[in-house]
Amino acid sequence: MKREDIYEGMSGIGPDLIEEAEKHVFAARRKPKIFRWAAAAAVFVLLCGVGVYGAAGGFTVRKLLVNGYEVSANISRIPMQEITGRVNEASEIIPEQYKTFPSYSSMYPGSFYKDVSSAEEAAAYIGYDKLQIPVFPYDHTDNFQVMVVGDPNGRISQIQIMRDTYSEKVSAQNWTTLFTEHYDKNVFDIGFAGDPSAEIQEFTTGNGLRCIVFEANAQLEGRKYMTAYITTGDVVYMCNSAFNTADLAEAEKIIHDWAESIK
Amino acid sequence: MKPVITMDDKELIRLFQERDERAVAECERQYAAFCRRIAANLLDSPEDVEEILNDVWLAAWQRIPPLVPDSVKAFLGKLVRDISISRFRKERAEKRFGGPAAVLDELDDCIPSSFSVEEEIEAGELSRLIDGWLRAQKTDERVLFVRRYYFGESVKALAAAYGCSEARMAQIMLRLRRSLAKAIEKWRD
Repeated sequence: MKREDIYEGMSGIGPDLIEEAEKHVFAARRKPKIFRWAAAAAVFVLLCGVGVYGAAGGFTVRKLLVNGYEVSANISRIPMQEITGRVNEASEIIPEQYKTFPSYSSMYPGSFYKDVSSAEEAAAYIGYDKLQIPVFPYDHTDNFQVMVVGDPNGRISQIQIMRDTYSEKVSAQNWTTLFTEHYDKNVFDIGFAGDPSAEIQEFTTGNGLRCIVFEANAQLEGRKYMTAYITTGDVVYMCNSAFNTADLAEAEKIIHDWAESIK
Repeated sequence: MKPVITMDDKELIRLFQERDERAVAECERQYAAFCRRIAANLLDSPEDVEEILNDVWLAAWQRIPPLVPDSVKAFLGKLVRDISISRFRKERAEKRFGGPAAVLDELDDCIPSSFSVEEEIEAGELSRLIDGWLRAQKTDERVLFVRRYYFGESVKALAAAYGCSEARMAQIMLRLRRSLAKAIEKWRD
């Protein structure tokens, strides 16, 4: 018998035990948390309390009953006629993917990926006049892609620009997401931090946009991550950074610079 | 406000069986928070979590049919755990996943010392044994064990939630693991 057998054995426990563990609240009192945030030149408003924090600035932030937070963004769906770039080719490619999708494929047939080499190329490919792709402070870039999500009839519901960047100390990913008239909800559930170490803060950028920031410990000892969200209504922007605790200040600066680059 | 209608598992499985892509969207709507909670505990970055979740929806799409799970939630929970551990095995060298490594190390204590590596218990039988042992524990301790070894929550997180020190939580967990090892040994004898 190996430890992996016990791990797999745990996967087969009763659904009621999973449900119980998910919902159970311990009677013991929690220790108060200390909130920290030290980004320069920004005024941060700390959120505290329990329950729904509100939907101002396009976001709803909800504190979970047990641990952590969930955040969702109110979105306005873009008419397809305003998206004029070559991205519309996905309307033909995705239905074909559904038709030819083999059951053993590792690809989900409803998504189509296009590699791009720059923000300008991504913007031209999409062809949405109001789209603005944030300028990121680092030149080291991996995996610059546009992802398109559609249904078997070729109706495009989401377009996402994904980009990985990194400095010597911090790796970061950012996503810029558009929702079209074919997206079926007015709300996008974008974030979750289910750890007691999760802290949530917000600030207003120089351009008047509300930025929500999660900070939490990663499972790897001594590592943290920080995820920030901004929405302009038609576009949702997300940025995540992972770093060693000692490099917190650099990660904060990256998030701050990213937020300030969105107009 | 438009009411939120939750599809029951039977209806959800029917959509999968009819290869209706709404099955994936509905699965995501109903169970993304649950799956994300497990994946977030086992993986190091939100990006990895989102990748795992995409793999989970894909795996559900590929396996139903022919599979017809009794509980979609438990089925998805198993997928998240299986995919996370499989990814951990592949990328262990990069030290990207602290969560599964610590969980697996601790689970060594659940194996009775008299058991050899070759000695096996059939997977379903082992699940039933663990399930029965869990039900015999006090509620708080049962929940702590499930949160640690099913949801993958860290000892630090559990200590904070339970209101005790990490050292105390580690002790509780060690005692529970040894208790499970005794139950497994007793079962064999």
